[in-house]
Amino acid sequence: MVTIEGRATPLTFSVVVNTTDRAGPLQTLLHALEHQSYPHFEVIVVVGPTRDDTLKVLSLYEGRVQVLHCPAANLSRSRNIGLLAARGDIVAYIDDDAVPCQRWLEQLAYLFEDPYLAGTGGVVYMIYPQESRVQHRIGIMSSLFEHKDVRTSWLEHLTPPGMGCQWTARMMGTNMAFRRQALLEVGGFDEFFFYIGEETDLALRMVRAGHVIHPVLEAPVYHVPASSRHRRMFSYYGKWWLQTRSGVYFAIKNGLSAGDAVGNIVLRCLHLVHGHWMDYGQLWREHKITLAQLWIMRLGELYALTIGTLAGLFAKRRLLPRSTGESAVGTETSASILRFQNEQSTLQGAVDPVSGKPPLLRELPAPPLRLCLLSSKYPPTHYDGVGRLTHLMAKGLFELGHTVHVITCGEAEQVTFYDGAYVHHIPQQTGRYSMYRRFPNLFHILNYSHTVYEKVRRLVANDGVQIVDSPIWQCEGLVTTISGIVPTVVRLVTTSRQVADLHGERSEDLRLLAEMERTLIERASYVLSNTRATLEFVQSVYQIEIPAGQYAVVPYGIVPVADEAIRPFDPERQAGPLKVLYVGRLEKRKGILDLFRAIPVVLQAIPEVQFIIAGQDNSTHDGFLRRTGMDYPTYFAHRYGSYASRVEFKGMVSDEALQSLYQSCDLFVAPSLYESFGLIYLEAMNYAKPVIGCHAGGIPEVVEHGVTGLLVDPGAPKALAEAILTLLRAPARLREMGLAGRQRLLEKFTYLQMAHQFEQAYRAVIARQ
Amino acid sequence: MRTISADEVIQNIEFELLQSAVSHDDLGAGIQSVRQYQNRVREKLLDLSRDTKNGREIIIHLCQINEMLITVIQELNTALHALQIEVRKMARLAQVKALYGSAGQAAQAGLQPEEPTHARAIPVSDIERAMREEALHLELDLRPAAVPLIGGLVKKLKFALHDLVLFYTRQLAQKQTAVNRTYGEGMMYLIETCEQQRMEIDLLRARLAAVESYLEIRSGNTRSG
Repeated sequence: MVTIEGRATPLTFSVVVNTTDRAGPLQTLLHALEHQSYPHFEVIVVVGPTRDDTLKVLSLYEGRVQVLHCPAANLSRSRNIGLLAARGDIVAYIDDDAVPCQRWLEQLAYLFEDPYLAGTGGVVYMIYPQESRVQHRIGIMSSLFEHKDVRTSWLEHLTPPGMGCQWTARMMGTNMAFRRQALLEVGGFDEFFFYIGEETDLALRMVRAGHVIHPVLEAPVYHVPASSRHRRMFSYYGKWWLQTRSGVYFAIKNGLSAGDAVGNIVLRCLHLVHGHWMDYGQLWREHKITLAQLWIMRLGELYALTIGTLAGLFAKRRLLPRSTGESAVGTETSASILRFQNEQSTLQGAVDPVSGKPPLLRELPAPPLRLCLLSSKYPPTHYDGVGRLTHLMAKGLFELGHTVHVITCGEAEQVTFYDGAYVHHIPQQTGRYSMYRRFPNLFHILNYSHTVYEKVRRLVANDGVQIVDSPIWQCEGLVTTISGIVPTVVRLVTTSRQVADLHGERSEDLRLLAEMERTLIERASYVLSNTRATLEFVQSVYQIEIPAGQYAVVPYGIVPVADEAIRPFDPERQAGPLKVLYVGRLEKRKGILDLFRAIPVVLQAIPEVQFIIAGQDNSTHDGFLRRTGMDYPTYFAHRYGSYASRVEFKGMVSDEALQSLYQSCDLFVAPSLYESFGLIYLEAMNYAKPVIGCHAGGIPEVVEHGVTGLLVDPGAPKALAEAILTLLRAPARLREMGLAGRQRLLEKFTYLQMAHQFEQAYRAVIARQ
Repeated sequence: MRTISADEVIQNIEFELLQSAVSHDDLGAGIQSVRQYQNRVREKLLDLSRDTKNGREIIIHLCQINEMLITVIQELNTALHALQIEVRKMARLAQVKALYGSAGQAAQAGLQPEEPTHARAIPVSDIERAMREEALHLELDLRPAAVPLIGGLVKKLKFALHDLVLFYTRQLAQKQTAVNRTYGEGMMYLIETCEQQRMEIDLLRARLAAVESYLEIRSGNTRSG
């Protein structure tokens, strides 16, 4: 990192934003720039022929932003206008629909400490909700407009495929920075390029002029492509011929300068047109564009080929006059920049980069935090209890104004933004710790934890992450904790040791896993437990004593539904059977067998009761299938066949269906043998439903026995049946307990209360560091 | 089967963390890639069964090799920088340990690396080979002209023209070899520096161990005294 204080005169930046008709995304960008860690920069917004509220948005920043106008919808001209007005040592360009990482300018400043570097650019993550991917990372491009945008390192594809004889670093306008002097020396951007190709053309010209261009793997920008006058999102119809126009011109101008054979240049230009013709045909065959649009686009290609060729062969480059550059360079000192940030900047909450939605708390009493939560499974795709909880934490912390990053496991590297958090998907790797291959759990956990560490390292360097929060489950934060690069908080949930004990499993692999869990707790900066019972249990199982001041108990919370959505039991109700709901995986630990044994007792006493069982069958993993040869629903039908008609197995259900089940039930039952907390009880209480659980783990700290529900001993089916019958026979208590549960939830267990307590713990850890 | 301890796993994690500072495999693959390309180009340009290549194509290939060498040097430089950081870290570790006399307190300062460095040799012989002039030497390749009567004349004309092309190409090749040699020497220097740094790390570790044992003995003497 650059030491800002270490320089007598810090490098100054001019951040140039070129915008037309994108008031919303522009506001989000300006908001994000308030949080930049590097303060020595000005912001120049060059507005094209706009028709929306762009100027209104900019009026909010009057006196802090230089607003200029570009009469034409020409990105290159707009960039040049910004360049000429820039007074910083470095001119950094960012798209109006992008959001930079917190240390974007700090990282760039560090790179420009090298006096030979004339231009650079960082990674671009496209977080467009429908198609998230790495859009650009140390890409390369040839003199014939061939490009490879994403490479893992500079050593990948040392011999690039393609016809062009000069390959150089490809810049992407979304995230690039140049020395102002070097930029002016080469005449800025060629204004023939309306958009696309202008940044790479510039890079090629700079390289030819002897400058060093070196994009890097750091300083990322999160790009949320918005509609423009050239392309509309959610539509395949657009002015794609502009690409061909730029491409043909690019190939001719640069191909000839680089010494490409004329035949290759001609071939490449024809490839560009032919490729688009084929693409349009495919779009038409897939009914994504109409026949009329197909031919408009195809004729556009021919037009683009003609214009591009004529301009490439006969027209002069439209660059800034050399005299402009000479007169501008050195005439202004970098001290004259108009500082963008003010004293209020640090106290503003983070903004949703996709929708622009601000958090509930917009202005904070203290600077917002930058947090990283770990959860290998995370909504909205596949997730478990830990994933759901992490999501609620992220949502709550975002609403309190903090920037939240979540690292989760995914098939390919990508970043999405989901419900308040940047979600970084990282693929599982298996290239390390091969000496532990014979312990599959340990092997995968160490490898995943190491991959997480590598991502955390990047987030610390680029996004200024101050603290990492890891669940103990799967030891995701183990390597990060050992590395000591950032303080790590461990969240105690059910441990693999507890699960193994409950399922009666013993192996060397599980022993080592338990050892890793203990190491994680011992080495963590702080421990957060969801209940006091969990904390005590973990301490006794691992024979460790967490010193006072090193831990806190933070109960979980959920999002309360609106009062109109709750359905307390109606004692006057006449029609329909009483419904008893079970939600959870079908496995031994969740007490499903105890419920099976209790059901016949209940139905013998009250035959019209309907049992609904929702959750995934886990008989394979807990060994039940191996022992009995049956999964749980089959076992019930086989063993208690005469009651099968009163029991409905729903299997895995969607979140919407689950909420509907909670809403429509009369009593909720989950006789888990152990729960570190038990979010399911809260979810039932959310809809004013009485609950029945066990005196086990943290459940008694959630369910108040005799007030919001009843608690029985774990593994006692008779007592469970008694409890169910007690409540079903007392309709008034059903209602009373349900409403008491709802009240308890609102007082103690909302996601915002939980987030607030997490925030306090994080702040304490950061202050101590 | 031998029982694995948690400490052993943690030591392996720490070693992996230290390893990530320098990506040897990546560099090795890069050098390999340059060598493959060089060999392929040499074979293609000097293939006697095909028409002689023109100077432009040769220059393009040479420039490409230059680009590749620059990239490798650049990555070597990055690796060297990472290694220097590690050396500084090790020096700090030694200082902290000498000051506190306790490995635990030093570990709290975030300085744990204790594993030996596993120096992997970078194949320098390939770089040396690529630096030699004959790597780019071109021979005249002419086929007899199949034109009746004026075949001899055409052959003489072709010979003169090809000779002219080769004359300039060889000049370029000589210059290119000089450039290659400069790059190669740069790489060799970087590799040597890498080796020195590695040795320095090992030396520091040895000194650290000596300081540790000295402190332990001294604290033992103090207690017994």
